[in-house]
Amino acid sequence: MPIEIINLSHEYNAKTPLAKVALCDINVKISDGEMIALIGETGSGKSTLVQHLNALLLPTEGKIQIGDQIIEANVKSHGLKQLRKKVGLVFQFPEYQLFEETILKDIAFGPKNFGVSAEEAEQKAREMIKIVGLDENYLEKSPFECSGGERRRIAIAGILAMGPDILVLDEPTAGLDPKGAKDMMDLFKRINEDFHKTVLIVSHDMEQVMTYCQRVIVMNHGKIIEDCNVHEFFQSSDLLKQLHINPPALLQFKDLCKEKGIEISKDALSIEECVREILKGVKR
Amino acid sequence: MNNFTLGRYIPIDSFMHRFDPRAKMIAMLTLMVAIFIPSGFLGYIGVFLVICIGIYTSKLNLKFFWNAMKPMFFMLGVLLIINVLVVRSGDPLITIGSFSIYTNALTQTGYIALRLIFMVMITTLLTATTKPTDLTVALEDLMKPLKKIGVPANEIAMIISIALRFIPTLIEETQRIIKAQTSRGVDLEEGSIKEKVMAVLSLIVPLFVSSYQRAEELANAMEARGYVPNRDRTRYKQLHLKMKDVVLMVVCILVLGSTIGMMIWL
Repeated sequence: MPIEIINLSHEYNAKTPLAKVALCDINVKISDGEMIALIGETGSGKSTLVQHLNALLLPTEGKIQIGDQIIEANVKSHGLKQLRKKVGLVFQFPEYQLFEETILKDIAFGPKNFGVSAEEAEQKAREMIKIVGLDENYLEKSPFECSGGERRRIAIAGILAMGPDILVLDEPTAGLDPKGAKDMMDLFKRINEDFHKTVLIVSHDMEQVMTYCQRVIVMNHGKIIEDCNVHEFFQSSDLLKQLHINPPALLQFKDLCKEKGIEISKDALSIEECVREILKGVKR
Repeated sequence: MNNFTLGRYIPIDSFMHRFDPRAKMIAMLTLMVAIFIPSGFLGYIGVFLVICIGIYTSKLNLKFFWNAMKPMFFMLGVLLIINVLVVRSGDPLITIGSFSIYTNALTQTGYIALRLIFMVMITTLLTATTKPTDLTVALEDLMKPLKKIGVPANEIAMIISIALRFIPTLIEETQRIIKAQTSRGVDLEEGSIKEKVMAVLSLIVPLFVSSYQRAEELANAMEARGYVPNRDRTRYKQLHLKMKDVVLMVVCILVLGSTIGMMIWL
């Protein structure tokens, strides 16, 4: 299900003295099956934009088209609930939204809200708990017995169980240990590749963006200031420095190599590729 | 959530804002007592005048006070109905068949309504012109004499200031959870009663869990910084009573005295 955002603007507390423009003239097209990173400083409007995709916030100007659903400023939209089923939004620290007595019930809560029968929802829950990498015997436990990382997986399973076509995640790895974060990102990659879902990730971690995503959208002060392919984006650290983003270690490493006279191709975006390039150079 | 008026501080600078919080609190307490002394409508006019002066010097919008009073009107309506049905003294005003409305029903409701309206006005005036932190400091100071008889003044003040501090945080948290559950298909506005109960449950449980967690973290943080409950602490901001603060308290005590006088001699 493609997404098209046209001239979208959003103003908080519009028409009051506290009015604050959060998004300004945003234009984005997202096609099916993309894996996109949305980056930008705190307060640049990422979360605001992301909430528009779920119609939790409505545009004050412009429009959003998701599939055949159109949300337009100043026009009352219908079927927002259906939209929320198609776009699964995982908030920051989603573990805080768990509330049921058992994990099974909690994962089945979303699908049930969207009119799926109880048995089907339960079956979905059994399926999803395995996809997020937890054992099926977790299902009868209370979510409050689990660790933070496990709870986050459960919350994500709850969103996946709704069967969204588009998965939007707001800093899904914040506060996780490196291994937990890697597992989480691998999970999203798998959801993107195996289940052909569009995945949009808000992230601050450039290493993750470089390794996992195909496309990068950079926001600053409510505007999109860069929207390009991940290879283009990480070609050199110059662009990143311009955007005040700390380049990932690999790019810094390449810069250092360059200083010493070792040229590494700009397309090498993983350690393995870099090593191969360096070896080639050494052999020559 | 943002149009919640009762007890909100309005950060402007006015004559009323600059009074010492302790003086304001004592003034409020004496006026409250004055309201509850049955001194007839004349006494209320006096109290009302004092309140009006206070509102005028606070530079607050009259609409703000109106909004603060709004939630009370429903209760007053219920009270009026009960009084009309129950009170059977005074002269009958209107008689419909065997049922009649007596004058005392109306005057009694009138008295209660006036008292409540004045009370809301005074408390709104106090909370709108005094920072919550200043209020707790004032409370702590005013409760100091009670320490001698074993009232834990410092702790009470600390509890109140923590509670006040966390109101905005909790509102933010609630809105966050509302959004998260809405995107999971919870509909807070429509649906059957069973669905609504479920919806409210899906908000309250996470809110409780995170509040407890927050409380525990806060307690640990306080202990880590060496908080000992009943130890005396120095303050960054010292309060000093000025002449005008004394005048404010004296005026309010005079109002109280005159209402007592009116009750006895009129």
